[in-house]
Amino acid sequence: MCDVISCYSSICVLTFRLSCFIFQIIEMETQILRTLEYKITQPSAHTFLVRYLKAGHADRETTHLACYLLDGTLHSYAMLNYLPSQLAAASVFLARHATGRHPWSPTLLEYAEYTQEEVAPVARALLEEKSAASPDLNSVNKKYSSHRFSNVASKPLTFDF
Amino acid sequence: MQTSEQPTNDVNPESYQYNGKIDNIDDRCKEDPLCATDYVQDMYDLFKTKEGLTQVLPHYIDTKQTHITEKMRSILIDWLVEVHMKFKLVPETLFLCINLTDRYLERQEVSRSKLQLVGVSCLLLATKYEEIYPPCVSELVYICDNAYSRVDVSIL
Repeated sequence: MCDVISCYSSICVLTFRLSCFIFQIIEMETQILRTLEYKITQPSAHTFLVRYLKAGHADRETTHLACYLLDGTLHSYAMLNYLPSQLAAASVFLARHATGRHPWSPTLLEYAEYTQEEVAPVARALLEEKSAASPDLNSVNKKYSSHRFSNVASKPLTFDF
Repeated sequence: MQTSEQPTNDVNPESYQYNGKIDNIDDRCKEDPLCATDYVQDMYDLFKTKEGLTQVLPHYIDTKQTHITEKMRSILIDWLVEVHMKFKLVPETLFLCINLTDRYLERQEVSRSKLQLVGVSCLLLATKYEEIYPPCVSELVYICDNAYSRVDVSIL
């Protein structure tokens, strides 16, 4: 059918294909809403990160580094084993460690309700997963290599905790 | 708790985390109504109890999906991160979008060709929830049209 229309006008084909795709998206959206029974919102890892960064007295660089580490966990299927709050706590832990501060503090213990001993294994798993990630999937690295994010993607991360 | 690993270090009651001074982080912005200091701690207590319920089952791809692999999920998410960056959306949108995608894939079997459609539809839903000015559908279609061949090729 597209071919027939394209005989007349190439603009028509574009509009036809666009409207097909828009229709598909809207149909899929309805199906997703029905499947999830309209339960959309959830406490995401980023929600917890905001709170934990505040409790961790994070500066600009620590904030960017923690966001970078947390965005990196999204790719990984193995990271679904951990709860969002655990991943957020591990990101703050690693970011504080990499910027030369004590990784965990009494304030973080109070607000995150995780001890340093509970967070360290998650942080280690996060780092292992990060080093094992495929180099083709580099959109997060690209994003955080910019000056806007203080070029945190090139910051060295160490396992010594 | 869903951790598979046990803490490796022994608890040391002398460590800094137990002995340092605790700072009340909500005192600093008591005057700021956006911080909602009166009930922000209650909110986070509720989030903590809820987070396990909205979490997808780990290994759902092995049990539910036949056409999709772990690698395809990573490629889709990589593409979503890129789109999210191009549109300059807030970080919360990305997390919600990926959670929605995971939860949908956990419940419904999806064919390989529909995977990107699921991703885009979840992004659309998430932007409607989180953004002040969500992108319109035709903008998303435009992004898809340009990237479709690339994602499709890399999946195959």
